[in-house]
Amino acid sequence: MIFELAHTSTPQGLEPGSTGYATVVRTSGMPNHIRRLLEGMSAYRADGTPPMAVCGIRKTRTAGHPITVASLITPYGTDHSGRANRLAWHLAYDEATARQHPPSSVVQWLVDRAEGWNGKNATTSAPELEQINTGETPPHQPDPVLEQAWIDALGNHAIEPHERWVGLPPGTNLVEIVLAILSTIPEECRHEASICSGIDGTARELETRLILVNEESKAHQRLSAGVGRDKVDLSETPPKAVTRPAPELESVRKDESLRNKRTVRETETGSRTRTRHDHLFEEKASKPSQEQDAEDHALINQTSAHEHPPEEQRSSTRNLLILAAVVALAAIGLFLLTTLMGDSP
Amino acid sequence: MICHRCWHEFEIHELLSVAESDNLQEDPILGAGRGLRFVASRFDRDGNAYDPTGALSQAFACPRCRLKIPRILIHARPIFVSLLGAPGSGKSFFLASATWSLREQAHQLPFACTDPDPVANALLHESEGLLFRPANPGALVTLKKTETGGSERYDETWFEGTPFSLPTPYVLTLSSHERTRPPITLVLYDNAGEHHLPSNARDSAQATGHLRRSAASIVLIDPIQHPELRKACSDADPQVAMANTLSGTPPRQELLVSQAAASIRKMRNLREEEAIDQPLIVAVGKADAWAGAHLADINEQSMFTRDDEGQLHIDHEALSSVSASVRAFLENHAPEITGTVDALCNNVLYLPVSATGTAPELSSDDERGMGFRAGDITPSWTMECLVAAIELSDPGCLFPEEQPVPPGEPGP
Repeated sequence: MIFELAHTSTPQGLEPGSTGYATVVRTSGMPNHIRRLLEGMSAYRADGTPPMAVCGIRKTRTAGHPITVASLITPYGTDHSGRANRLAWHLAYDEATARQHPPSSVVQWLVDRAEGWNGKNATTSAPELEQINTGETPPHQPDPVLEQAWIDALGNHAIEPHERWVGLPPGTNLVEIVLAILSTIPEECRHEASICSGIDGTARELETRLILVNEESKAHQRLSAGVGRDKVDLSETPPKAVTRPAPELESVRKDESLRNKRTVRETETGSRTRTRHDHLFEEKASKPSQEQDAEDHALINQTSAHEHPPEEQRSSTRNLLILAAVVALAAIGLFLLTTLMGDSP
Repeated sequence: MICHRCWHEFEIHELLSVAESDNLQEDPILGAGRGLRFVASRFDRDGNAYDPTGALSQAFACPRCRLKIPRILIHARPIFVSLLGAPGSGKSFFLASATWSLREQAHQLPFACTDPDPVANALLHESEGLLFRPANPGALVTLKKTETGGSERYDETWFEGTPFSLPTPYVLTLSSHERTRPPITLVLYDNAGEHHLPSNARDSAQATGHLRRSAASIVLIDPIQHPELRKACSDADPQVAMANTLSGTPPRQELLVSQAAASIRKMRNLREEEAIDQPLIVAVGKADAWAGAHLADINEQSMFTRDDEGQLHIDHEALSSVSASVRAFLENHAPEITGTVDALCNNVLYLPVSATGTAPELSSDDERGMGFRAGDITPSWTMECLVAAIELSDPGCLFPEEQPVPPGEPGP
């Protein structure tokens, strides 16, 4: 499953009668809930000097299913009413597709599509998978503002289930940095990558594991004042990047029961709950893999023992309950018999 | 009371409290970063709720959408006013101009305009500051185009597992200087014009849900986007030249009224033969471009008059006269608009408005498009339009000894 959508201010959108902010390019057959999601993700707040493009890969859920959205939202001159315009180009795909394509190639494909757009409305067929490079991508040459050791370390942060942000000097080409970071993501972790330059105006809750911002932007101020995201301090020595998870860890991840537990459940009111196993994954990255692995297995066994007690234990509990019920019935019967005999003349 | 975000009507005891404790900054439905919403059961002597950790919480939320409700809505009667218009018709300019004029002319009016929740009105303050308190009066300024989504103007919530995006309105308090009457809470909705287009009707139902509760609506007609009305506009306005170069079909603005009327009928469960009694102000915008040639100088006219005791009153005759002139102008150039309005609404007033009082200038920087010279901005009839909408919906609420404002041109 793969869909593209472009959204900008235009005198005439793709839908008859639409004008102003409207969809101008859309894959045919796109479900309405995905169209609404992508249109809702197109809002843009000009931020930084020059204004930053919002570019990256984020994860969310729609109609109950997880979905990955690669986006590029960039200033786009002025529109037909003489006001500042922006162009948002999105690619939405499922996890299977995310595993097939290197994330840096997906973002580069978006950049090329946006740059090559002729300004005409179009209904497209599903993007050709061959158009998006499926092989290993050559590493992007990052802006010299960031050394390769930090690019590798940030690549690791982009696949870890922690939310982090990093401030970069003004004028840094964040799109190039995003591409460079994504090109370090190993093949087995492609579907986990989640990174974005800047903060767009999306109201929807999106999972973004790493946010890059310019230090003089409003987004930097907001992230500095906020809670819940850790700041990556570039003045420190870059942490040793673990580019591939240990094989043992990968086997734990593939454990089917664990995966089921890990899945974020939605209650009927829409609330999101997390299981103990999520906590297990979150702590994993900060500990040595072998030690963490041992803890993981111990916790899994402990949890399993709690949720699925051994057969013998269940059987003895059942027997005790039956015995207690028999004794109680006998006592009631004896009491009734005694009462009846006492009342009789 | 009525929630100003989702328009749910509920009893005051159903209000949720919002935890302010650092340990409770995650609501199970709204997510992280939003204080836990809970039904309070413990209160201090002043009636403030204690949250589950024992900390005081002084904010409230709607029991349905769980979004915050300003305290003023508990104490003061709200008047909801909807603003409709095509994309690019100048709705954000109109609102910033009208609210700024209300603040600026408070000493001449019998009431003052204040912000009960300045944080919620931050965008409005930004717009007012940009247009009327610029750092450099000689600079070209403009307001950015209103997005159709995003966290700046909308908040996402969940109803029964489905996400909904609800608009963030501006909330203002109008209270008499003598404080002899209870204040009025004015709730204004600045939707993106795209939400009002018939082509977006299905997707915009949540964003325009305020039409169900609005006491009055203002439809802003953009003469430059109308091919016939544009001919009546001054060629000196660069917007006219720009519109003449467009090849696409311009939005049909009478359909905005039809769409709004259809939405109101649906939401209020009205039959087709029932007329909509909700007052409607048809504001013909960008009056600086057309009114000079078609109306008496609108800057010389006023809808207010002062009696011998210095008391301000609404001048009904002047208001009716202006309304008749604007209606005649519309009927000559855009009869489909007056025809649609007359057919759908009972209580209509036509007014000219100019949010800036001057035409924009082309910027030398191609990337910046057009802008208004900040020092030259002098709005006309925007505040009057807002005051008339409020007075039409609740006669006497702002000018207590007034007779009800007569409708400008009732429908057939």
